[in-house]
Amino acid sequence: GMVSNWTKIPPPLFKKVVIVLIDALRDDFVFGSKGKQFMPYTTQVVEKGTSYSFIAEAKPPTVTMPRIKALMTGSIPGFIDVVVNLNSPALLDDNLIWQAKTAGKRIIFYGDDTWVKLFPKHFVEYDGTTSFFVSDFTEVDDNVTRHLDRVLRREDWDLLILHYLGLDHIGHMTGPNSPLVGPKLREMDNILKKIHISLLSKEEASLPNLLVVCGDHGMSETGSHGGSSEGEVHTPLLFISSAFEKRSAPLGQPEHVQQTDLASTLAIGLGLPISRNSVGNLILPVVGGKTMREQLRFVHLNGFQLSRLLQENTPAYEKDPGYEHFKIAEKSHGNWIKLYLEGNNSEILLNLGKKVLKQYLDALKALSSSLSKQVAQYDMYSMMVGTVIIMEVLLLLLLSVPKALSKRAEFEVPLSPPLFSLLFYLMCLMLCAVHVIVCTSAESLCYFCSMSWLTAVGVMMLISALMCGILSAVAKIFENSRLPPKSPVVSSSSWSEIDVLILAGTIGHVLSLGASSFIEEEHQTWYFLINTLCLMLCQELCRNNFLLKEYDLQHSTNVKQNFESIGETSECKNIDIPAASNSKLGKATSSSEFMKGSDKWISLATPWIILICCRLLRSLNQTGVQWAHRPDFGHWLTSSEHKSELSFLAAVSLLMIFFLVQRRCSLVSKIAMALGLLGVYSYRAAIGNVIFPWQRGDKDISK
Amino acid sequence: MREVEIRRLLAANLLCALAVVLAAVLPAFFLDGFSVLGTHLAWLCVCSVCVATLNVILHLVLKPNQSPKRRSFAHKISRFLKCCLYFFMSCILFHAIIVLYGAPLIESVTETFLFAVLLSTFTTLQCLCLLGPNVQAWIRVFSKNGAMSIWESSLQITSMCSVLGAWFGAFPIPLDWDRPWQVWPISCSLGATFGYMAGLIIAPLWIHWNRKQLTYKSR
Repeated sequence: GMVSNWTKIPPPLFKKVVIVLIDALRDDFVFGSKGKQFMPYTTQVVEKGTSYSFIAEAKPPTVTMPRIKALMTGSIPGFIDVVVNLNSPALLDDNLIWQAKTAGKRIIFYGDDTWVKLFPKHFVEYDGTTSFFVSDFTEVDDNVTRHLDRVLRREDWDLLILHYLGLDHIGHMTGPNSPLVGPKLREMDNILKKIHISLLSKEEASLPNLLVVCGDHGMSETGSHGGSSEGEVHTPLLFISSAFEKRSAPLGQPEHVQQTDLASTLAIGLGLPISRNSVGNLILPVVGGKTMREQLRFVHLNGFQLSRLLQENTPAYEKDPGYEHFKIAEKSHGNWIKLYLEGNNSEILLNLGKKVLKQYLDALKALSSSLSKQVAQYDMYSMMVGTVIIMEVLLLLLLSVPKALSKRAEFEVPLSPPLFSLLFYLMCLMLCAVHVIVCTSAESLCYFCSMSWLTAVGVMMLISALMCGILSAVAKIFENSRLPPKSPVVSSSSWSEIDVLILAGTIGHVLSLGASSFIEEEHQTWYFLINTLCLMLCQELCRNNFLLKEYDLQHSTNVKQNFESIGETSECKNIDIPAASNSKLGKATSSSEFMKGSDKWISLATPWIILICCRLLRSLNQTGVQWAHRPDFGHWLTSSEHKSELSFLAAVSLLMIFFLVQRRCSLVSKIAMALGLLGVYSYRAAIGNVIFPWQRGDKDISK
Repeated sequence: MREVEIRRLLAANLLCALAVVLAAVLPAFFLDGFSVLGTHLAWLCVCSVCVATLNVILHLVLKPNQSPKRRSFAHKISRFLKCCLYFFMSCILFHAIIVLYGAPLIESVTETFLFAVLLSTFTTLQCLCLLGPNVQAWIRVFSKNGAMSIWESSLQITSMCSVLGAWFGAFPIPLDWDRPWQVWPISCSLGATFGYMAGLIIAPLWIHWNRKQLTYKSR
């Protein structure tokens, strides 16, 4: 029979593509109640227009730069990208923008200047806005919108990218439930309406245009992002184009797709090769208007790219279930093409084609998940060197804790014996040999190998010196413990219960950082440890103070003996010891006991006061992720009905600050401080957080 | 003489441990839908009552510290009332400490209070049975080398273990595993119970192991 002659990349499906990326756009800002209230045009397009809506799941870290990389390359960047987030260099991986530029498309960009740093020479025209002034949420967007009218009228571009930062800034400042979110969403809605109408008016019959609305990440309940909670991970993804069919049935829950699917979908939409490292699947409804043969070709291209990526990364790629499914689907596709080229255009062929399409989609999903599961490339050698140095220093510190806690509080690190020992030089030699072997046989990039030889030798010497120091310290400890204690009174190391608790608590806290829940709720660990420490202190104080009563008699006789000895040497003038000194001594001991009494009660009460303050602090502000939404005292105080309580509390706190500090100040400082504190209160009253007693009702001065 | 004492201690402790186990298992036959995790408050009540009655009965039967004087009935009544008062105060104190550790103040008061009652049963009730309502004696027993007899050593160990068990039981609370036993106060009360049972078993073994070094100085 005939052979298919489709070997070139399929032509583009859309003429002009506009990508509107709204930073920190959470899915319920478009699909939820806020979307229905503040984004009427978008809601109408989503529910009744020619659009397809999805919820795109981003992978952590949900920070802007890794998300832009994920959107444009389709790969999953790792956590190390957060470190270079502050100084992002150009993106060297295969990506959509580079492919578009190579194919001759003209790209215009307005928005966050992260894009300009990632793609320095790719844009025909650009205007980057800096993203670090978090308190501004109007200028950053106006800087983008001011170009919009002009650009939409022009004909000389193929891809327009707009990145709006205002919503992200509002989220960071005031959270997702603040009254500023609504007007911002309305502003975004108006912009989308303007772009959509302009695209529709300028559309040519041959090739339609496409408007893509997406977010790079969402927003947590407190307005921040970076983690993996539901709100941070779910973003909306809208495709709006006249090439799609009008929606007949109402939209239920939008389907979930991965954020990495956008790169491959847009590549096929623009007629470009799919990026090499993309792990995303084609979103099928976007190409739904094409013939079955074309649709099968598109999914085959995507599957071929994914299987090639799998081949490069996994030695045992043939055993992978996704790869096997793909091969089976390919065979069915071949059979379908044979039937198609024989001129068979019936309904049966269409149904068979749908079956092959489903096989392909399942294979694509399986391939994507196998690729996503692969661990990122880790630079093991450098990590191990760093870990060895840290562990050695830690061990040295731990060995010195008993000596450091003793009365003399010093620890000798024996450096000169090791430096002249044979072990040191042998270790240096061995480590240098290991370094040479690893660096000459390393296939992937290794940070430690890229350092100069002198630095590497220095690091090796440091490791060997620390190791020799540790060994000699341990040897000394063994020697000391084996010798019989000569003077049991002088103990060189002392471990009290509190020391053990502090050490155990520190180690426990460090170990708890291995679980992500404990990182998110780290404040609970700290509250817990502080409580335990205070209770332990309390119990020790109780024991010391209450047990003392039994030894008081013994103690007072000791005191009497001490006083007599002082009287004999007779230097102190305060304690005059005449012949009949017993009565005075009696009075002295009783007065000292009385002083000890009130001191004793104060010292007993202090841990409890600390505990109560910690408990108040805990209920003042709920943080963390799991229980952040629970109502707390802070919410109660800052809600608008309780302004008078908040004002009272603020006034009392400021007065207390004044009274506690004013004792040590001169008159001028006192007046200045009083005026300053008054100014603080007046500022808060002026912006409406607190009220003066003569203001009844909420009268805050508008800006 | 010492061996006999240790064996009596072992028997008493095993009986207490058995009581705890029975309190978890038996009520399922009498009440519908009873389970340790499901109807946790009911289990707390049953367990506290069982352990309390068993401890009181054991104390009355075994009488580990015989006081030579005969006490008058009024004295005994006043001692009993003082014991009840001390027990109640210890419940309040435990409740306060648990609230300071982060338990909600207004919600879940019943759960927190019953957990405090359980902890008091494991610790304070034994002190009351053994030493009477005498705070000085308690402080003496809980200081280093303050135990005067095997029973007091056992008391030290079981109290420490049950408090430690409750402390460790708080660890799984921040985890997001969504298990039924992570609800407050199940993990802490289960930790306290396991700690108590472990203490009951460890105490005679530890005393047996160290019987040569333990010298109880007589007052």
